[in-house]
Amino acid sequence: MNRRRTILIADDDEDDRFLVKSALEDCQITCSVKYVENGVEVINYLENGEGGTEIHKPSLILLDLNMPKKDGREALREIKNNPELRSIPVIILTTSKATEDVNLCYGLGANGYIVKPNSFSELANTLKILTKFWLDVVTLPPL
Amino acid sequence: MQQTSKYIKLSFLGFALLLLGLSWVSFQQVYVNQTNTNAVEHTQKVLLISEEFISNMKDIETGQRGFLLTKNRVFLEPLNTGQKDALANLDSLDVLVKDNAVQKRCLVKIKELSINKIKALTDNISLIEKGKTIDMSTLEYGKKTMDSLRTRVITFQKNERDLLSIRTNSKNYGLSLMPIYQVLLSFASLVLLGISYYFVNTELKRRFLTEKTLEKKVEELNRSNAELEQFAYVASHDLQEPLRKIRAFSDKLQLKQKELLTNDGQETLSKIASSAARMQTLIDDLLNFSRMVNHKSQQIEEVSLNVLVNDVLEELSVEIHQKNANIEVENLPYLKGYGFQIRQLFLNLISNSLKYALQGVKPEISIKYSEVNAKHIPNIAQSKDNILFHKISIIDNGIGFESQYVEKIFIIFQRLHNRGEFQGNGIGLAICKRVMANHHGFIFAKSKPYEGATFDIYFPATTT
Repeated sequence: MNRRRTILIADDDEDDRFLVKSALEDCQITCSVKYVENGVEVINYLENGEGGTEIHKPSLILLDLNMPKKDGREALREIKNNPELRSIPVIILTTSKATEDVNLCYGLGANGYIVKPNSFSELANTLKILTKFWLDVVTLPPL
Repeated sequence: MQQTSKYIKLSFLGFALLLLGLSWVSFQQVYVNQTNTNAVEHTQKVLLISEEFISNMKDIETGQRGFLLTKNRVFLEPLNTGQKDALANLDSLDVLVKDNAVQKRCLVKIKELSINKIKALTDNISLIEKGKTIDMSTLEYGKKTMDSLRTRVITFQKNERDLLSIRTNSKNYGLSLMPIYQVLLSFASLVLLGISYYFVNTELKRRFLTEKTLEKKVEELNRSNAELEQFAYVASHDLQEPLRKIRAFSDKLQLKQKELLTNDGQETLSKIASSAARMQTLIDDLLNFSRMVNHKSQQIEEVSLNVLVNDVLEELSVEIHQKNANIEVENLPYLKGYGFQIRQLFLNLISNSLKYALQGVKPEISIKYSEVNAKHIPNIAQSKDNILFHKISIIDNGIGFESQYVEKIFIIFQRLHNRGEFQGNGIGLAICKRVMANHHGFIFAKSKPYEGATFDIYFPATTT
């Protein structure tokens, strides 16, 4: 198991995935991006890897809150309760502005909470800062 | 309903009258009976005394005859007492018949006769005592007097008996109708009682039904209100999602494909973007409004309006400074209410006064306070009479508006001006109106073009 320059993005909304993908392209950073559509797929990816290949952990997870099957809150709780997954940085990227959600997510151990920006340029800018910080600036514990 | 209550009143009045009639009939019965008993007693007394009188007179007569025959003075004994008793009897009778002229005349005659008789009698006795004899004519005179006295007394007694029988007859006649009256009156009372019961019962049933229907209506209203509020929230919340994407995509297009777009394309795109941005503010306002409306989650607290208005003026200090406005605030009361909402209310009203200032005129805004009785508040239900209200007036010298719009301005999304002239979505005053409704208060506006506007708000002074 090794840590790769991979970002795991969980969002059930196709348009949002498209926007994030195209914003990340603008950031011109070298990393692979994995998209999943709900909390079940997040946990499945983290625990079992992808289609029998070697299990590896992403450097960053961007997690939407409102998703079908298993929502972001549950996925976050499971990640942060699992000693093997706990160190992976999780940034919440959601439309919810509710204070309850912000409090809950930080309480569960989220590493950041971002309300989806209204404009594309803002989104691109936000992702640029995020990836730069979590992939290049911080030091994460070895696996 | 008016009709029924009239019927109820009428039947109860009739019922009361009938009861009065019944009591009168009963009273009459008792009264007549009593009078008759008195009359019977009276007659009996008269008869008894007159009987006694005759008997006394007979005693005297017998005593005299005994003396005349035997010359024995023993026979004279009853004479003295009898004479006294007879006169006493006459006096008693005199009192008893004092109201009856016929009997009185009769009695006077009797008295006269008895005095004559007694005089003749004593004359006879004294003649005998002097040893003289009495001639036949004197004796005959004595007998005649006695006979005529007896006849008189019998007449006297007969008169009395006749009187009694007349009285008894009239009593019997009166009393014979009484039971019929009583039964009739009682029956009528029963009928009226039944009618009253019917009306009262119908009215009660009707009211009970109305109450039930009202309760149901209130319940329905509450539910539909809650649904509506929920709907407004959900709708505006869910509208945001696609809108956000329209904005993001048009932004992306503008950013990444700028070179490929013609001028016309770019212009169209920027119009899409600005429309979407406008829609965003509308939705935000709608969300704000629905949050304001849904006051169940908020707490009622003690609010110092002085502190609250000061806070609002602080928040508006930049605009106040820019417009060089003069704002005067009177001493304001404490209220029980939703502080957050009341703050929004004053914020909206004062910022409106600043926004709609007359160009080139220094804005003067005054906030006045007084306590008023609900009677003096125009256009509210009379049922609130005598409830005290805090009246707060926000008065400005701005552009004002036509008085025909005093109600329209409080409707959500209603605007009097072009967007180009003044910014805004037409939600501020709708929020104010709603806040006042949440506090069981009122808001009214009055204005004339170019003469400023006055907004009067009324909070109940005792309850919330």
